[in-house]
Amino acid sequence: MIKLKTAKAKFTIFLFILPALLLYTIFQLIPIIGGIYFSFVEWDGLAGTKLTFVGFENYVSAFHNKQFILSLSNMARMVIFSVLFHTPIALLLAVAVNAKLKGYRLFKTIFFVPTVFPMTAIGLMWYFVFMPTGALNTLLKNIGLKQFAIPWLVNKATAMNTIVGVNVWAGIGYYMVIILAGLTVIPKDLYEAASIDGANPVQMFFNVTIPMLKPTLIMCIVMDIIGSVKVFDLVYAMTSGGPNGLTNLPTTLMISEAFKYSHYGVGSAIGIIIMLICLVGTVGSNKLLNKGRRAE
Amino acid sequence: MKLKKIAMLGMALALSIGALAACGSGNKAGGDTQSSVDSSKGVKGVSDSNEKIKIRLLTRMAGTSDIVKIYNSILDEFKAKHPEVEIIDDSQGDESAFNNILSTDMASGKMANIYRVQGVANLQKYIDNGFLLDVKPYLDADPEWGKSFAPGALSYYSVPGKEGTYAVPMESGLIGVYYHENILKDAGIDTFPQTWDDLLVAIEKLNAKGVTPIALGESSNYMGGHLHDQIFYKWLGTEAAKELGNRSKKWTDPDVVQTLQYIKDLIDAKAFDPNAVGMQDDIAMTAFQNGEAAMVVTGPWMIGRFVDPEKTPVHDDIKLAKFPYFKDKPEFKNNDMQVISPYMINGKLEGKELELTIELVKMLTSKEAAKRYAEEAQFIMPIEGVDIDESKVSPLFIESMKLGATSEGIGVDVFDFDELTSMQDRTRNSIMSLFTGASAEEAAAEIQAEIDNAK
Repeated sequence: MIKLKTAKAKFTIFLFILPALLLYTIFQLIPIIGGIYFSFVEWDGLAGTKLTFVGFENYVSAFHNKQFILSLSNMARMVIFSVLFHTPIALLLAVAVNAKLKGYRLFKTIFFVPTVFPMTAIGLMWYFVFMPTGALNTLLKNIGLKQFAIPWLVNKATAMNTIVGVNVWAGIGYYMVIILAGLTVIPKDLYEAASIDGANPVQMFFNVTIPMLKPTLIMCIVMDIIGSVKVFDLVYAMTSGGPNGLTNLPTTLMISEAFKYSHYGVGSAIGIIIMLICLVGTVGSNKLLNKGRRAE
Repeated sequence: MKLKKIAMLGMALALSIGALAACGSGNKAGGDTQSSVDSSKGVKGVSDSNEKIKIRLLTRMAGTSDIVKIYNSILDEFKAKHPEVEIIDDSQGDESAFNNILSTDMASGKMANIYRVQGVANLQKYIDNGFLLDVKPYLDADPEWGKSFAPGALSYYSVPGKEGTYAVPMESGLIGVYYHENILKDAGIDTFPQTWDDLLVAIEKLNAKGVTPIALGESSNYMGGHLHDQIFYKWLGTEAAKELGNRSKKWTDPDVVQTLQYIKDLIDAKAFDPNAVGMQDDIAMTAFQNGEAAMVVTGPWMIGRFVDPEKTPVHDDIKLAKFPYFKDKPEFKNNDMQVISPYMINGKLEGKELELTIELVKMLTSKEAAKRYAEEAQFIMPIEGVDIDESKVSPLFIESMKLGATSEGIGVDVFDFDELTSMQDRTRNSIMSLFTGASAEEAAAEIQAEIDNAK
């Protein structure tokens, strides 16, 4: 590690950090402080109107709002299913691609393609698939399964699950690439030693690959939790949180509260709650990560 | 070594300045992206006395329709007359995009010169904060212009508890039932259903024929909202909407719940496409225009499309009627839903800028403009004494004007009389929930809860 002996050297480093610090302050810190402030006041969104300090009333109001509770439940579903499916499927795909069988480059590209598209484009594409007169229902009708053709994005049983499914599909490639990078740095000696000891491929997977990938996998899970809490664009493009708030996430509800209903205080409170959830998720996951490292 | 450090310092400073410059130029770049009718560049800042006067508009007049073409041509005329003025037209066809810009303007206090806000009761707070100009003195000062407006449309913008008139109406007309006469006849319905009971019978006959009775795309939830508005006014009258707004009536009152129950009755009677709840408005409209659905509840803004043979293959067959009334409530037979859209003027304008803005509004709502809108785009403005050449307008347009003139009570959306901004979304979403299994009582309770929670 480079030791910083002089004040001049420290100052030089500070100057290098300054641009990023300025951008971070302007675009992250100030809005966060503003958000915290607005979450404690009541304001109807009109410039020049009085801001009334209301303490925690906006937070209480948010938790008394059925829509917010539903959005939290939707968010929990999004996080659970993303964590359950993203990393395990991505791991299997990464291992398969890493085996470098014939045509693996093509598969690698195919799996990664959804990650390249903007989420709004993905949302729109899947909206056309799942809309009542969309591709899926047309297919079902054409193959004689008309009874299964339902309004996927409207039906209470399917609307949120459909969006969660699309989110899972869209994210797998991203985690696959991260895990693939992790796989490439596992020393081949370990596999050779395991092979000499008589381990079969399945045993090597569980006793060499998984333990060696543990930090990468935990990092994927941490990123997945935070990413799932912050999902906005996909829902906005597919349903805008409807019908009647059925597919709202806290992120989409926050926009509606603040900009549609002019409840800026409640909208800001929801924003701060999202931030706290992310913070708890990050700190918790980091502790888990460190615990894992210490155990090694 | 020293030189190296100086070079490092220089690079760091350059980066910082670059970052700040990028931040600073953001607004300028943003400004350039606005759709400006006047494409002239390099306009100086506000503090420069030689700058062009900027008039910004935020209306729903966007797109490629004939209506928008006329609107744009009026802006061009104004621009030619006043080369010193830069017109910035931020108008949005999409409701959500429009509302986002409007919210941002209101939060920042940088209102467009000419804009519009949905509703009437909610205008009080905008007036209190100086966002809306009382146009009455300007209407009075120019009687030829001021007295040309239909009194009903103008008085609609007399805000409860406030003196004056806070908008210039620019669109009006009956929102009724457009129907295919031949499809009804083929199903054994010789005349358009006059009463609710007749409507239910007609729906049964149309279903028996395999025709979708009413086109509705509830994914664009204003369609269900408009249907409920129709039922509400025929069952309770237009004054009841004001009573909901002033809280002397509740959404959970049995007679109001009944208006929601009537929508459930229509759903149960299979009045709509089974996929209506997930369908967008344009798909529902296309179904009607192609003759796949017998009726649609919509307004005069669709007449241009309905009479266009390219867009509507069965255009000759389309007729217009008022929504059926309830036999038990004949007194509300002519209580109708009408569209009334405004141009509102920023109350903070002064001097030359205000003068020019008023002039532009006058051009946009003149008798000449009304004539052009009617003859070239089948668009009705609430302006009287316009010499319309009937050979240039469609029978559907004339019928719309005639029926609109018979309204005894006029209401726009029921939530227009509510000061809560969230009521547009709340009522429409709860009406949508009727299509996904909620009962009328549940929907009513959900709407009322929005009001109770806001207290």
